[in-house]
Amino acid sequence: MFSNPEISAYINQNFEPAWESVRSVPTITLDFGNGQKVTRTLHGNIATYVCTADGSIIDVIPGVYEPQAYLRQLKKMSEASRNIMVQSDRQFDLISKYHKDELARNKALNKLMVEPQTSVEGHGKVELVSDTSHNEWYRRRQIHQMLLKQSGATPDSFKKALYKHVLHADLDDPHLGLDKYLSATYPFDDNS
Amino acid sequence: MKRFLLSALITTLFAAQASHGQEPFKGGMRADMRKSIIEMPIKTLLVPPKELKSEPVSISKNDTKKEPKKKVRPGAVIWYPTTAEAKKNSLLSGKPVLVFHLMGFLDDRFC
Repeated sequence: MFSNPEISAYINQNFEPAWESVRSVPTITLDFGNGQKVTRTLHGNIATYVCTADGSIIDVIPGVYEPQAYLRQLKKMSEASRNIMVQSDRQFDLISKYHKDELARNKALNKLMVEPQTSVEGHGKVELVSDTSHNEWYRRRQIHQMLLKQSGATPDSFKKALYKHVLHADLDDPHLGLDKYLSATYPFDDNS
Repeated sequence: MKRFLLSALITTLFAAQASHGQEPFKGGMRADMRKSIIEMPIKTLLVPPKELKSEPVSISKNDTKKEPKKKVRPGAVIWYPTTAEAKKNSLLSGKPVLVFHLMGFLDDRFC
């Protein structure tokens, strides 16, 4: 996504960007036994926070997005952020109002309005568009509700709740909640 | 005359195949094969014990061998090394801070 020239240029011009790792990513390696190995990530997930200069979260873009939808969100959040940041004495009130307005807008949306109307083709495209729709329709609503209750939350203080309740990856669980799926049909007792 | 020559040629070919113990092709496929063609001699199937090679198999739950991670360019965004630096610059520029959280590392091959 950050290799996309339009997105990267927009970020460079309109934000002060930094990235942080919340934990290592689980990977899976298939060893075909003939020297051929294929490695893929298993359960990575991402979040883009837009914050004020003191680090208070204004809004969050959860998970993966189709590039144009991601750019639309960035533009919308950049504009909202500037309006909030120029009135720093009313910052928390304005952030709270922003979430109330966004929540009302989200609830008024019909899911069909969020889902893409155009056909998509290409490897992984359908999944990406489906993820975008789910993130816009459901996860962003969750985030607005959570941030309304946590005024002044920062990425650091919010990340565990976001990953656990919205992105479904418990950062405190060493197996990220995947253990029950990995062990469900495994026939051997490795502990004995 | 031509017919006679053609039938003589076919007869000769059949006779040659029969002499080798093979049946002629039927419908483009060989009707049958000799057993020795399908089955390999037993002595080539059995490997003498001295030629068997066995490698010890180790199974570890916590395999500590890790391949070095391949570094990649983290896109075309010009990132600050820390969020603190991004916040400091946000105060000067008036631009909002963008913090990107991920599992793994943005400059790793797998993140």
